Amino acid sequence: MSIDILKMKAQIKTMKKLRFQAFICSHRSQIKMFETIAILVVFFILVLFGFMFYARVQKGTFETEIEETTVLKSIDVSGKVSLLPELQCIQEKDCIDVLKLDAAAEVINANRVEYFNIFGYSNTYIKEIYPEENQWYIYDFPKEEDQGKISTQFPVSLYDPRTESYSFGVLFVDVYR
Amino acid sequence: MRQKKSQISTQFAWIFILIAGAIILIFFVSIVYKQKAVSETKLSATVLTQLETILTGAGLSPGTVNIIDTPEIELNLICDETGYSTYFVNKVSGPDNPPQVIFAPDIIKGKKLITWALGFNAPFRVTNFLYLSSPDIKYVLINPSSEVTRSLPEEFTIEITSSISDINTRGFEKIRLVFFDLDPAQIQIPLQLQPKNTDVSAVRISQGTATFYKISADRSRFEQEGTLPCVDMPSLYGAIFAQDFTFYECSMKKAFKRLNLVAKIYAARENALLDYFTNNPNIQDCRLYYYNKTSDVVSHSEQCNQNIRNCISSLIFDIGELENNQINLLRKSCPLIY
Amino acid sequence: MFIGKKAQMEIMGLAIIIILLALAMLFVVQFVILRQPSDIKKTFTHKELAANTVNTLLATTTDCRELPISQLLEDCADGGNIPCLTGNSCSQAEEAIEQILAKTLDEWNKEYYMTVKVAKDTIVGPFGNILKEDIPQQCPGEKITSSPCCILPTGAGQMIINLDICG
Repeated sequence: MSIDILKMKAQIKTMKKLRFQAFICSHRSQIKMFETIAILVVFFILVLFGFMFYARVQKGTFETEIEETTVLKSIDVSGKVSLLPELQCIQEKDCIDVLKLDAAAEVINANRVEYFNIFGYSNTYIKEIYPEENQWYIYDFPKEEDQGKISTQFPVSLYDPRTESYSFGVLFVDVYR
Repeated sequence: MRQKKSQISTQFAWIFILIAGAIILIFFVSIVYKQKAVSETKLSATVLTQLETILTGAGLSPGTVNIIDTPEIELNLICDETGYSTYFVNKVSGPDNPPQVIFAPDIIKGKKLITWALGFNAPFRVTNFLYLSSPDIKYVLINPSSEVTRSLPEEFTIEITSSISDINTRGFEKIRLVFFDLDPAQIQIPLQLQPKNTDVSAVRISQGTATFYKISADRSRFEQEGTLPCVDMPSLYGAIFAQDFTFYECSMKKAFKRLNLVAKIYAARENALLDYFTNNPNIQDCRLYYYNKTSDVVSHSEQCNQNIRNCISSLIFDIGELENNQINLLRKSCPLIY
Repeated sequence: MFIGKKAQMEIMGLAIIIILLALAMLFVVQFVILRQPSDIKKTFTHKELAANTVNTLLATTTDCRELPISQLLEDCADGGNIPCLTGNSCSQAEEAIEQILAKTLDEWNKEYYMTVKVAKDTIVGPFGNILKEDIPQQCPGEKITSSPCCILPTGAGQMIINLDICG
């Protein structure tokens, strides 16, 4: 009796195995297709990860480029200011006319839109260092969101035509980020 | 039966492979196209940024001519009747109302850009005029005066002739005819200038006035567009290089706007000198020589926005007065106005 | 032989792809992420700062008979004959230069070293804020110099004014 039971169990096991193999054989193509789809899914997930990584790197590159552009802008404004006819000495030497500075501060600030393409988003002012101490605010156009600024200092000669003397001044250009 | 089944399943497998492969290919090709468009836009933006720097640099050095090598670009310049000006490269926009006063054709194509800058003085330095062109644009001067040809740089494609019937138009996208004594409206346009693929325009410079002409609809004659007096030689050259009357008028208005701002500063400077020498009289008695003529320049240049034709003649007079004033100040060794 | 090893070949293929991807990532990290940003401003402003500071300084008018610093230095090199309200041309020039440098480079936290010499003889100064035992020291490492600008002719020979900004 027990031998029969054992034989039956073995037969059932064999039958289950055979059924499973038959199932695999009959559904082989579906399994293959599923395998291919799974490969595609994994592939596209990898591509997605690759793009996410690329986008992050690009973002970092853009931020660096924006920083570099802001720095270049401050150098650009410094160069332009010293050559502006509104400020430059009449001798056309490398100096700024003090009498023009008083009026220029008023005119330029009253026409910020006209001068935006020259100064951009920046705060430009001149300080007389020696022998007297004075300050002229030439232009200020801040951004709505305060994200800091990059400052550049540029020594300039300040000429007073009344006394025909030169004083030591500094041009400050703070470009807003 | 089994053999047939495997044959069919093989075909279906290949069809499936083709479809999957096509999807992947389409996906990557679309990415490539999108990247190409992004790269082209990026290139145009880079060219535009560099162009801005070049134009700023060129504008700072009066009297200099530069030939700039660029990638194959189409530079479009606008300066319209509302006073709005801008430029764009391959449809990527540049700054609105750039500070440079530019005289140029509306489209410059090609791989080379020629820039020339001249100082605009009225009589103090106001700004630099920037003239842009390319080797593919021809300027034909008919019986010019030596005063005009003397300063024109040879880098521009210039032909000096006494008759327009012999003009060679081959290879040129634009032809600008500059007349000095002849009236373009009275002449018949030669056949070689009539085809529509050549942009032909004309300007007549006579007795300090620039008169602009455009080609008629049937391309047989020139029709007058407008006329403006020229303040000085740089303005005269501006008339040669500007696309048309609207462009020239817009650029001149821009120049006068700048003149107004600079003149205000000089007027304040003159007043400060007058105050100083009134309170601190010197041997030369300099206070007698500050007549506040710069205020006249301020008021007349303000009028240029409304009526540019009338203000120019007043400005020419003011400039003369200021120059005389300056000579007196020089004689007396007093601080100069400009 | 290879028919029996098909699965192992597939795994080898996958491994090669992973290695290639890793190499590509390595290059990206090396050349993109770890790239040093160019310090345009530092190079430009230091170079211009040095030359411009000296040029502007030399043109500055002082209280001493309303003469510019350049003329005071020239006189100092020739013996310091011009009398000023306090001291002579040498002391006045030195005082003016010290004041200007204190209000500019010192305030901006820039290390510098400036000399005014005819041949090897120091006329005034030296000036600097890299101190060792109360003596201004030269820049220890990299520097931006105002040279070749700023040479003044004097009776004793050519006077060279040199400003080095460290960093």
